[in-house]
Amino acid sequence: MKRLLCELIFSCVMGGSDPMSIDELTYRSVLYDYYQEDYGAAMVDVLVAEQQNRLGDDPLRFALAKGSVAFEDGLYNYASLAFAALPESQLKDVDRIRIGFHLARVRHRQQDWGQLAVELDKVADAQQALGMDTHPEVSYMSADLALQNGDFARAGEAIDLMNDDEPFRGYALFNLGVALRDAQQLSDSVDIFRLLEAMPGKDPQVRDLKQRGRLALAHLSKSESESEDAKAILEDLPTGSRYRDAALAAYGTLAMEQKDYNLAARIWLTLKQDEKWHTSNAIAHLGFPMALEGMSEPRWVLTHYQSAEREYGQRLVVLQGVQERAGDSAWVRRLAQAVTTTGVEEKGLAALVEEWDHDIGREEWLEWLAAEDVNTLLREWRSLADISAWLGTVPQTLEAFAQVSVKQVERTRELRTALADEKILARRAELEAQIAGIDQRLGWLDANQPTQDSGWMLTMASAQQRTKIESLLAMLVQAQSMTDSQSVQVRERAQRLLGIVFYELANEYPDQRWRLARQKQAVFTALADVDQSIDRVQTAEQAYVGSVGLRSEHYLPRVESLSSRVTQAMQTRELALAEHLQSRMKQESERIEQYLFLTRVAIAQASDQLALSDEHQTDLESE
Amino acid sequence: MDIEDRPAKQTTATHLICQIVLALLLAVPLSSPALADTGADTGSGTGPSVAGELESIKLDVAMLKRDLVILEEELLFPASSQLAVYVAMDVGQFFQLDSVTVELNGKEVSHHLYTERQADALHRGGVDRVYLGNVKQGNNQLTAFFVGRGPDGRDYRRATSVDFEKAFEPTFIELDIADSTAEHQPEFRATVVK
Repeated sequence: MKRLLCELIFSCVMGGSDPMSIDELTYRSVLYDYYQEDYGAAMVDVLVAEQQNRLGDDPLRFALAKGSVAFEDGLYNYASLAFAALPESQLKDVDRIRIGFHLARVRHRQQDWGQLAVELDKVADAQQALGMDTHPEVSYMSADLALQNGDFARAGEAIDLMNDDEPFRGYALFNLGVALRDAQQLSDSVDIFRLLEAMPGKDPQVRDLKQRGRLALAHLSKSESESEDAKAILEDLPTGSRYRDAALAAYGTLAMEQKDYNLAARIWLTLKQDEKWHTSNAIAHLGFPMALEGMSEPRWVLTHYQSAEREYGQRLVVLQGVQERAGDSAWVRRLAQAVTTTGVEEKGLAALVEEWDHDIGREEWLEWLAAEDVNTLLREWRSLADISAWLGTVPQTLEAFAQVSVKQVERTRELRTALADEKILARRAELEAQIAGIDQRLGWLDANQPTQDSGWMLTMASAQQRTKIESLLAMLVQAQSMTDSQSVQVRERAQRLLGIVFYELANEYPDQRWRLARQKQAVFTALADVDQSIDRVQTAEQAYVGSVGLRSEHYLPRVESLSSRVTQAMQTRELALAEHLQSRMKQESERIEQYLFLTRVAIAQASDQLALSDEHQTDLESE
Repeated sequence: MDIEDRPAKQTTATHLICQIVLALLLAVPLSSPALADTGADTGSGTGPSVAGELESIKLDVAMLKRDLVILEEELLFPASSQLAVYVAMDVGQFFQLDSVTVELNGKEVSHHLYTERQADALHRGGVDRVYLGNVKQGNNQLTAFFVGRGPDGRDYRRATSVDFEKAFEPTFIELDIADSTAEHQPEFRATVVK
């Protein structure tokens, strides 16, 4: 089932030998939670990924996952919006099946049959295009839709698409059997319940449905005056079944109808021995003395009728008490807690459950809890209670975050001090000065192209070259005081040598410029590293200070507002639960009053009978 | 009352009881439609508007959780020191995972025992973030120890390591369990995700 859902809900991810991307890891983390049915965590993962823009290369895949996760987390409107936002042109048939499937599930549970038909048609079209088999849940929904339309044949066709051991087939068969019975097509109904009976019973849900089906079959057989069939079916029901008492009561009724009072009395007695109250043993209190009457055992009849009268009277008092307690919101809240707490671990809650078992009767209140409306209310209440408990912890979490923030701010302040202590700021100033020097030099080079000018040459020259140039320039000065012939020779030599130096300098000009540019780049990199360290310390400080601010200004009001809404929503459900409970107790009281009335009539009869019998005995004795 | 009337009266009363019992037994839950659990509910208990209110609360709570997760991450695991380690499984026919232990620079930082359901989620393509923490900048070594059942159901324990240099960005490491079909053995890899 889960594997099928995996195919239907997500594109099943196939592993590859290449390492994943960060976005892929994010997407698969969502799947990890989803496959463990931790839909709340998966939803938060989705929202975090969206916020951090980690949707990956395939945003469509992510959007589909978002809709699926939201659906499973109970965010149906959000899921519908997510699916509606998907670009139709980019959807493949398999995507359409997935979307249609999810929306069909929503419509089915909302009992929006018109829209369900639309979604199922979309799924069917896409399935046909891909040549895929029909998913059993799709068949189940199709069968249910057909039943709503009174089209039993079409429901049967949908059921035929499912495998024999598919639990959805069990549900669909049961519903079809009930619908046929309600439509007075009793023979067809029997056939369907027989099919249900023949299903492999590996699945516990199917086993339970089969027992319900057998019980329904027994009633059908009885109503068709096939008592022996009904008897055979009831005898065949397992004794450990949760329908054991109902089956016994039906069996007792059957025995009474067949005038097998001895058997009926034994059945009623078995039911009466159960100390906890339930529908079946309620009727047994009345049935037992009636069976005794049938057995012509008048001695104990009146006593047992009177006992039944007491039982029913006490029962009415209990029911009245429950009705009154249902008016107390604290009691209703406690009740909701008791029935939604797993394992009923808390001592007080366990005692309450025990009290309910005793007062109302296990079968009665379990049946009440199983009713769709009550069940939904309790699930919602539980969900709200969990949210409320979580919201209660948020201020503490925020306080812890604030403390961490404060520590981090202190630490970054220490780091900032360390920046100065460790001469990082001095180093920065030095690097900046170096850059300024290089810039100045580059600026001069750009402005002064090579010219055989002593000023240019001295600026460009190295220390060694500078010494050489200065000595050659001194030679030229000395040459002025020499004789003409000597002066010419010295000047020519000096000029020649200066020309050689100029040549060297002009040759070095572009290299020097390139070296300076590289040097500047290196100093820049060093400066950037220093700046990054400084920036991290300063930014971190700002961020930590900011997060503390956010805590007080943003999160707490959100938590308070949500808590208030949750409390209100819980109260709404508690009120609704109380109304359901009171209505249920009222119904139960009316039924018990009927039994009490019957019992009192029977007591009157039995008293008359006893009186007549005494008169008869006196007459006999006087004769 | 004539004693001879009794059987007739009794039949009437019995019939009445039978009718009541029959009515009870034909009532909920024996003949009400069986609802398969399809994982969705509509909030029919209190009407659609109240159900919508619940959905709105749940969505707002999810948003708040999202913001707190991000805040926590930024606060406790800043990018410059953040290290996240994920476990993934590719096929996994030759290895049945029981636990993963992660050591960072020779010190155990995480140990996780996998339930059947978690291992199944890995098989189906999910990845588990087995560790989220902080690590010093510069050179580090991460070692992962995998314990489980190998081919033929034998106890299997293997380790794999990766050296990595922590920079200013968050570091992600994927621990991958794969099948070597050639050797009919599982393979374990640790890779820094780019």
